[in-house]
Amino acid sequence: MKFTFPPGSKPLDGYTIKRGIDRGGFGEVYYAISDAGKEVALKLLQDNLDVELRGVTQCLNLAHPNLVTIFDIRKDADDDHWIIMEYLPGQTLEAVLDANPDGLSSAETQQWVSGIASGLAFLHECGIVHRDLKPANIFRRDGVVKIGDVGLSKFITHSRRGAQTESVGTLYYMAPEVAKGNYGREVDIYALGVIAYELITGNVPFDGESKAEILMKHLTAPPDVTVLPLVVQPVVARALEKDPRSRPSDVVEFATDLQQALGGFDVPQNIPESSFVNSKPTFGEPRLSEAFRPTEPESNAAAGIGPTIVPMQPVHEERTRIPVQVADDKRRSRKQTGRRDDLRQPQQRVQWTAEPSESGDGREHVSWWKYFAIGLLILVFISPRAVSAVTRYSFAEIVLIVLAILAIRALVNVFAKRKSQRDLPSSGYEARRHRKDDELGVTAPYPPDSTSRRRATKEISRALLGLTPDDPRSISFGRRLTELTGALFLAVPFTAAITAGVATLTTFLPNNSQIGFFGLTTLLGSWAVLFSMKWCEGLGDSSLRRIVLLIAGLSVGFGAFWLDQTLMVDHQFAVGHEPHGAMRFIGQHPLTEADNPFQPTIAGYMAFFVGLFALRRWWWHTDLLRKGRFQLHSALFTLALGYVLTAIFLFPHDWGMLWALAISCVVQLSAAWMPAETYLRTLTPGIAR
Amino acid sequence: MSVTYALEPMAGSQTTPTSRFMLWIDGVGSFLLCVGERVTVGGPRGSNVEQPAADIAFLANLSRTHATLVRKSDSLILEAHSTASVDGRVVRDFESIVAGSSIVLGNSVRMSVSKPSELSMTARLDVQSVHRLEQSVDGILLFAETCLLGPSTDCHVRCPAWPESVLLVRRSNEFYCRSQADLIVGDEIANGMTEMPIGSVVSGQEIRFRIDAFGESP
Repeated sequence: MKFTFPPGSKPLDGYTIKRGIDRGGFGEVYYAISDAGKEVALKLLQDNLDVELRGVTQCLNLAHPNLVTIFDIRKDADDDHWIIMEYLPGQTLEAVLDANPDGLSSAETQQWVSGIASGLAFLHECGIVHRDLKPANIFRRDGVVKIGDVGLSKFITHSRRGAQTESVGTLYYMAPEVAKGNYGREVDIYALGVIAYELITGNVPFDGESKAEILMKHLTAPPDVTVLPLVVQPVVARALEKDPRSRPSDVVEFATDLQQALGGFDVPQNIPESSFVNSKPTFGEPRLSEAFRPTEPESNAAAGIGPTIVPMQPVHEERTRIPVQVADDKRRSRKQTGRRDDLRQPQQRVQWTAEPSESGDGREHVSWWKYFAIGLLILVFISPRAVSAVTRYSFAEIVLIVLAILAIRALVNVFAKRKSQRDLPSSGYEARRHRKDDELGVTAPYPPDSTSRRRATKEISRALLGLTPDDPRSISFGRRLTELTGALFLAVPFTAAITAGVATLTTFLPNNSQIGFFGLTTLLGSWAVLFSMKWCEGLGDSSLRRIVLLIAGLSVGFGAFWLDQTLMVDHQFAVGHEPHGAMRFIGQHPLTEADNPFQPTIAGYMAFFVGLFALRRWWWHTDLLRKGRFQLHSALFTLALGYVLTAIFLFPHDWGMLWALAISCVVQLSAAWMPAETYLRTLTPGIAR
Repeated sequence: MSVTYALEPMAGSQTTPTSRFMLWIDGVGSFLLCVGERVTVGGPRGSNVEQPAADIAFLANLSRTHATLVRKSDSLILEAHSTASVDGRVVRDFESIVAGSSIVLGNSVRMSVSKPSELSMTARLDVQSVHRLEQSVDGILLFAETCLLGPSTDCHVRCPAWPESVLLVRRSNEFYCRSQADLIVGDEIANGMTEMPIGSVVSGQEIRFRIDAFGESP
């Protein structure tokens, strides 16, 4: 951790810096001693000057035992601003949590929450919201809890409430409505709820592989409160409500409720067995998250040294996994190697999400399957006879083998993900260090003008839209069905329009049977892509998607052949270049009729559509979170793929390229898509007020 | 297990006078280095300026020289001049201190003792009670010959972000440092065991610290 000023520096008259303490989104904090010997913390403001100065100025004359005192604001010779604050030599709550990875005792939890609530209540009474409450900002000196870093504070009078649009705060403690830039004191209550959860369990309620995933969980996923003692669950769950109106009305109410709920653990009493989920005999005090380890409840109760505890499953085994917590190993490894990148660098973050894994995680163990399967697939297509001769398998058998390999890979991938997820530290110093590395920064880098407010909100949106179609996320069945139905319906007019355009503007479709054949096959192919990709949307496993697409390609190939036969398409009059694909056979099966190279066989149709579907990331065409509704380069790339396929397989060039282009266009135009802001609004209607 | 020693009074023995230094480490903390065989522990300086304060002077209700920590050979001994206990046992004269011992001075000042590295006789004292010295410290190092700063748990001062450990070596009242990491001492690149003049800043990748004489005017 490098600081601008080395020990012994005197950038500010009257103070000598002794060492750096920490770096935050707003600047550097130093431990310094005044000429008279007074210990102080000096905060050098480097970024976000306006926001920080405004916040500090507001709090300059506030005094409360549970708030870190701000002494003064000074400027140095270079016109840099320094905040002179009370130095607190004790531990931060973050350090305490590092030392207690399984959570704190009931008494300690109450002490921390009570102190924080007291300080927050005072701030709220003064019309100020802290906005960046987190363990690293909370100190304890001589048993007194103090909240620091009030530089992010901002007035929240009711009349100005609607203007709160600067994005601030730290990711793990950030209330959902912060993404909207429309928030009040409830963000502090939410953050305190997260802290209370962490105090009891040692873990934050919302963690994930990427910032986007964590933000998404804040917005959509219910917290897993089952890891908390039953009496505490409703209290914490209420503080973590997505809709701020559903949270406790003030912080004291939350602290009182929590204290009452936790209080039962300090007084010996019998707790009914029904109060606990998956209970197992254990000994209660003092750690809440471990409050139910196996022990003799009778002797415990008889001794009166703790509550009679009924059985409960170990915390780590009983936790329910939220679907979106399924990890992508590639991104996990990035998290492990990634550095802090904050909201000011959305593009960099997206790029970070897309770069390949370089660390040794589960992904690497399975990557060779992918290359082996793809290589085998290419080999089969290029030289099926040679492969058949060597392997003594028929084309169909080899395709089945490839499918099996892909399926095995998908399974191995799933297991590898789970393993890597288990291997990651879920709590303690390492986990916290990862979190710190990935923190979105305590940044509010925007002066309070309307442009920067818009930018702030937009960047959080971008952070959420760092959630790409490759990322796992949960989608309700209803939403999936609605979007699919709409897309399938829309595909009909778009197909009709494109077919009509091709028929009237070009000479590729000279008769009605060919027009009908082209249109129906395009529609069939589009429906197959839309249906299969909507089915797989949010699963986050590309192997599974490729398998589904491969099967869809086989089906569409069969369907195209059936339509060809049913409509009695006359390929003798086909217009265009004569096919000259390198492969004329797949196994023993010719790809076109022997007497008419324009007439594909069933093998020809299947080979083309399997290639077209399996070699393209169609989910980037159909996903709700794709970059735009229609992207020309995607369509052109698909067109190029169509050409390449017709160069490999003996298949009519013009048909192949037209289908590739038409299906890409229809799919993109039909599939549901939402801009970032609209998507955010649909996630949490409760905060869109 | 502790042993009670019937030691000869040490006042007349050949001992190195105790010197105190402050070790300031960026992003880690502040540490009091006590160099010498006898380190006195006590309360705050009195009104009589002629009377020296204890080497480790707590702002606490203790005698001015409440106890003395004595390094003898490879052992550490607490010599009690007033009420003191080690691991719950009242110390009448002397008591040996081992890693993990808990020292209580008076009724309230509590300290724990640790020796993170087996290769060094340097011991670390951490104040467990609410008491503090005049100047805030995150730990007190009873500096023997060597002291290890670095990311691993066997370092006397754990610096999690550092890429490599740094070995501090004391010769008389001069300090030297050595590390696998590239270091700059003052303005010069460190090469092997390099002398650290008091007040010079030692820096490297993620590393920066400085040793000052204790109580030196800022």
